[in-house]
Amino acid sequence: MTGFDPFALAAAGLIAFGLYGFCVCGHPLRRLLAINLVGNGVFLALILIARRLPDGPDPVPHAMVLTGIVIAVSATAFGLALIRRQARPEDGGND
Amino acid sequence: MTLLDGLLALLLLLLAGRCVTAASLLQAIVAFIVLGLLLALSWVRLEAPDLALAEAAIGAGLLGVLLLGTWRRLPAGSGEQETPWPWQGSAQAIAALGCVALAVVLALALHETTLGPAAAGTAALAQLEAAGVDQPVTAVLLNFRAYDTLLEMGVLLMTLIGTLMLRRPLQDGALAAPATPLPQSLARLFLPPILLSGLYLVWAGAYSPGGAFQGGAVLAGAGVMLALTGLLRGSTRDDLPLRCLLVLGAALFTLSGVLLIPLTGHFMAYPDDLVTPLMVLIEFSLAISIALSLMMLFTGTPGLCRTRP
Amino acid sequence: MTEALPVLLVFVPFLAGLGQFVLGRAAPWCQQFVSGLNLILVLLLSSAVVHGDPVIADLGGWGEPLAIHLQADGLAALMLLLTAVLAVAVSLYAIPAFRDEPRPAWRFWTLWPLLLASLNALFLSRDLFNLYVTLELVTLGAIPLVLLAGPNKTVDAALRYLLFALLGSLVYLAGVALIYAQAGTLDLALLPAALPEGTLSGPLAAALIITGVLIKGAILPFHIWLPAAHGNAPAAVSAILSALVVKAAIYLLLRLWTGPLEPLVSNDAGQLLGALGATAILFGSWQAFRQSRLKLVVAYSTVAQLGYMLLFFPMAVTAAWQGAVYHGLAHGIAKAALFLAAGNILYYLGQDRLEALRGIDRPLAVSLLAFGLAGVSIMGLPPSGGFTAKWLLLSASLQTGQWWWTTVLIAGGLLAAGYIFRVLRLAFLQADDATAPHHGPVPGPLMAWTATALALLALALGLISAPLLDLLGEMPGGTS
Repeated sequence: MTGFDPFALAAAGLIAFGLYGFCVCGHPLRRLLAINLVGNGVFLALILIARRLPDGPDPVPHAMVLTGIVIAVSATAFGLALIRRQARPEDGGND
Repeated sequence: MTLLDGLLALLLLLLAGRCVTAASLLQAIVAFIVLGLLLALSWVRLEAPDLALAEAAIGAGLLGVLLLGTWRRLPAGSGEQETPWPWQGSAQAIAALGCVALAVVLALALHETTLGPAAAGTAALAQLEAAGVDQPVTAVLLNFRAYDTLLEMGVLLMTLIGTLMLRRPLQDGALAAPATPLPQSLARLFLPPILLSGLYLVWAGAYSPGGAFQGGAVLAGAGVMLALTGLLRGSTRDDLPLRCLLVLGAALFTLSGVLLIPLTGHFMAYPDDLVTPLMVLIEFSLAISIALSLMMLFTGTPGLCRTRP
Repeated sequence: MTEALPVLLVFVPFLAGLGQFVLGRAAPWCQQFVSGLNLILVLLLSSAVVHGDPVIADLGGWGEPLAIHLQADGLAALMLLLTAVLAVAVSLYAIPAFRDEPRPAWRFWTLWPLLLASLNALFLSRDLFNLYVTLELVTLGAIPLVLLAGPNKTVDAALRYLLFALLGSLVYLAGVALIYAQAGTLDLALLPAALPEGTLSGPLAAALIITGVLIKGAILPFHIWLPAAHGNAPAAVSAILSALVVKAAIYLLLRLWTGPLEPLVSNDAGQLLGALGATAILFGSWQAFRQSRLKLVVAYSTVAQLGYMLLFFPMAVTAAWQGAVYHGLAHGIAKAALFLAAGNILYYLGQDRLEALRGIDRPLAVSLLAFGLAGVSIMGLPPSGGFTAKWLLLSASLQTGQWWWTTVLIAGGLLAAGYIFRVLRLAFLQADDATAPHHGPVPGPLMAWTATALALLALALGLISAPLLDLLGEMPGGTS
């Protein structure tokens, strides 16, 4: 591959769009989306990095991505629960 | 070949821009979900089918349902148009300039590092024989770097405890039964094949794309489908067996790591003759814990129960 | 035998947390046992470290460059020691503090051992990606703990904390990806030799990693999530967050700066971090002085005090190294004492507005004593641990000829005296009407005396610095 890998551009763009979104968006749900964009960009970058090995993709970055996805999704789910709670604080048990 | 890649990359960028700038929150969420699916497609093209599976199931699928459910729970019109603050225009311009600069540098850096040695990756592929599974990613996750996976189960448990403290169930009595596009009989029909394919994915992780996370996500997806159609609902009563299953993966993983030290001399190492059965056992227990955790992150309740017709 | 110690330090509290979760009701005594055992293990580990080389555990036995290693050197041992001492104190304090609330109590006694395991794991990790996982563990354990003060009151603070923490860790992960792309390994010990020179990605990766850690560490301008989270959490949790959780990020910065990032960073970057630290000291102290709620005073004080640890980076000599790490220790102990004492006041008054403090000197004499003694260390007066740390930083600034950090140190001390005495003056001097109106009982001896014991320890740190600095050792790779 001699030219510029389009996916490298996409990874950099996803990270940059995510950071921009985090800076300019006020709503927490939009900020959470922006953070996930950064995460997706980083995962894409890791997958590109994994392709450098001559004999098959490098499993170490792949494992990092899998771990990262699960952490990102569980943290996002927690963030969404916080957003739901923030939107309707009056009902629901406060135990 | 390259044309398709270029098109995919362009679409990813357009959707990311849409996700950040869309006027309505719902449009932003939809753009994000489509982006997740296209990302999974790109990963298939980039020789990472197992990651594509995980992204489609967890990153786009499960997260998408959660995002849309949360959007429905927000007061109407929230997040749609934000009140402009002073200096907003110039602040946005500065942020945009900074992010463009970062994107350029990042792209150059990624381009620069497209060739080079990867000592850890080479070592992982070289030692695959001794790891007890044929699938390199599974070997890294469950053997070479099993400690990361174990700590990750801790992350899952702590976010679950945090979510349960908030008691804002997505799926409660009012929402459960009627407003569903998928009739219950259809859900019942789909359930066995989905469960089977989830279990197969866990099993297949040893030698082909798949594994505890992908399988767990598919199993969780089956649970979410049941919850959406009202066949299963969250309950406020939490019970001991459920809590045991939630920590099963982490506990079994830790205990096998500690108890086998006399045989192997290292923490989280497996004796040669037991390595394959142990890995399969750990993989299934992890998948059960992951599926239940993801499912309960969705329902937001400490317990689950079947809805009696 | 000693190789087992790092592994046990992670998995004893981890399994205890899992057990507590399954049990389904609060069992505080189990945690007392765990924190005691943790302290004993840390003491054993420290004695092994001080007598010889770092203690290393190879997880899985796959060796370099693939496996994850746990490693305890002087720096890690000191942070583990701080964590273990605070774990004992906070666990004791939390018994009466959570006694009346069964559900939050169960969650506290589940999350706290898990967080303890995560902190130990972070301090012991020798792997760049494993550090990412432990950073996530630490924050995602800390945020639910903030919610224990009541979700309605703390949900905004928790959400903001989560958003910043997530962004910080992903920025860090982007840096890790670029490092792996160049070096092909994640092992901190192998990285300095494996990183090629003269690339674009090297400095970019370093910048991303440092930025990510600064966001996690609430360093100005990323501090905005900290005061609300630390100020609204239950007292025992605030003590853990301020003394340990944000410090874990600064610890990571020290560790990476003197290790793998050493060839990638320049003196200018060090000066920039120093300037951020100095701004944090002055701004945080000034904000602490202006707050009208006691716990917010203490929380802004944390913003300021973290800045001192950043003064290491522009100077980068052994005296600055020892000063920054010792400041971490002294601030950790003193800040935990301050938050526990403030928690006692809040427990008694039912609120913590400063004007309500009048006339609490008689019922809360012991807690106010703790507040005052811990304040001595925060101000940096002799013979406290804070004084020793600032003295070391001062001598480093003279040694390197960077006199401007001296003025920051002095100004920060004066401002700290300002906000500490402002609180004490209200509590002691304006006690004209007999006792203040209050809504809670007088805190029991366990709550009052754990705070005081920590405050006395913060003072004593000035007198017992020699063995601790000996354990820490010289700056890694430095020529003093």
